[in-house]
Amino acid sequence: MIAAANIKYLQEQIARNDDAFAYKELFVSFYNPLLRFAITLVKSREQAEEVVSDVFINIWEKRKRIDSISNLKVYLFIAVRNTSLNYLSRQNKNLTDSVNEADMEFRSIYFDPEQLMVTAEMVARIKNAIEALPPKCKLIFKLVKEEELKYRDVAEILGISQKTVESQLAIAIKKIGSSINFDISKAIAAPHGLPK
Amino acid sequence: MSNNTIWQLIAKKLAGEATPQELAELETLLRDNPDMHYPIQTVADLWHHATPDTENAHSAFAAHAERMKQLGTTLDIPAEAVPAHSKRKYLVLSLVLLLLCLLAYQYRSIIFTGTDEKLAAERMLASATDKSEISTRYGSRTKLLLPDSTQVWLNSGSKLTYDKTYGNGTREVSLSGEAYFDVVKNPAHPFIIHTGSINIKVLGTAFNVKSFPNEKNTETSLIRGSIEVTFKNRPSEKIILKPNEKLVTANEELVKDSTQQKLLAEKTALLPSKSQGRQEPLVLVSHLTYEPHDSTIVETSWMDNKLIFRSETFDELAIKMERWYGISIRFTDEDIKPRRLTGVFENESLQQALKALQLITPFTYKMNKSEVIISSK
Repeated sequence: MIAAANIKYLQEQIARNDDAFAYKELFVSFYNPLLRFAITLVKSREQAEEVVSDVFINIWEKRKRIDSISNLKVYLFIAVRNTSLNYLSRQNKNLTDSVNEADMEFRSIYFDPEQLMVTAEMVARIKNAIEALPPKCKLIFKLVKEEELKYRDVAEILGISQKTVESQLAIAIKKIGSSINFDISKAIAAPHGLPK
Repeated sequence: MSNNTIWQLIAKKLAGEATPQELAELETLLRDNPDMHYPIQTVADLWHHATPDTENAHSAFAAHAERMKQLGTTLDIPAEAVPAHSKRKYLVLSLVLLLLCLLAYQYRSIIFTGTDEKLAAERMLASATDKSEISTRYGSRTKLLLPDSTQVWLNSGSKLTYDKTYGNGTREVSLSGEAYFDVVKNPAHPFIIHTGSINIKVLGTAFNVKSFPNEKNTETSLIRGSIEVTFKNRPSEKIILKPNEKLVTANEELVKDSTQQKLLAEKTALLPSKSQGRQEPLVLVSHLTYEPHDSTIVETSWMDNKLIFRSETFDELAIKMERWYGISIRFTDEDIKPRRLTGVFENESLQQALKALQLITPFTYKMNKSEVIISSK
């Protein structure tokens, strides 16, 4: 994830110098996180791409004013949320409905068993545990983990309280941790069952 | 059961939201629950395991730019896109950007003039005919990227103006001061620069233009490509410049100055003046000047933060130093002004530069705030 100081610099370049290169840099830095988030909300890859593109068109059109945005990262996520909401309202859906819908297209968390030093079975177990999380819980987990957002930011982006973010993340971590916990007790028991 | 508390604290720790008290509490809890070490370690590993980006953001940007174009905003970006991300590259980029931020902070003077900020505010709602204006104060230089990816390095005390519609069909800018242009090739839409006395038409090339209102000459130095120069008051005549050539145009009536006479004597071309009117520009084509020891091109040396002066009078040099250091220079004795000086300033502070000049020619100076007063010994 791009560092805050870089974001600030790009922001200034775009606002003061109409710097198209900085604009591209900003787009490239945030495209993956924002697309992931948009897909979770609108459930359509095509629509999500349009949402992100719309958000960035707006940034360019209002570039003279973006200098005054104190946290551009959070601003972008909120802009994606609002743009997605507009799209959903055209389909008579709201954000909660959408978040709670099964997110078919939302890519599962990637990890490499070799780098984690765990067995393939454990990887499957962890993946299942993540996928089994309630949609909102999973979304919070991903926003905090992958997009490196603070509790405060996630609360603002999703329009929920910081306490909710905190407790939902604890639930996610506990469920994932417990799946590993379960595995270890089985692993200790396993040698007895091994063929000679 | 403390189990829930542990997970809650782990979550806070991983998210970077835990207070020192909470971290201490977690440590105590972990000591009492050794069986949880393994799952917690695995969750922590998983947490810190960065998720690779699956989408090619660069091709996504190309699609985005195309969409913007269809909606009426052209945003052409250089083809040499930022290379694929790697952690190290990101780190280096972060450091570079951080440095730039610090530098930008140091050289805060690279900002728009007050009127331009007002202009910028108005521009948000303004019509498409509005102008964009970028100016540098004395002592500061900047680089900018025009909407078609043409790069412009703007020397200190210079101003570049272009239409908001730049890039949509036309590519025209106005320059007052000095700038180096690296123009993106687009035969369909020539790039045109207007200065006080000349117009320069370009297809795709790199060159330097120096046109300060308070200097006698406008200089156009061509590094590569080819450019066509026309004169404001004699539109029928044009000069095609080849690489390595420099066009010197008198901003006003040629001043009776010995260097000028010498330059004219060395000239390779001199367009005859049709009339003797004051506004007739006298022009000559000469070659770029190279520094003998490292073959730096003198005309573009300002981009490397070098101020090179060769056999220039002290008052000519003073004008350059005023721009370079963002100060004003006043002479108390007329006899110092015509002294000829040769040298290079690279990283010298103003003090060091003045001290170095004192080695070449005797003078004394006083500094107060932003003014340097130079007197004979």
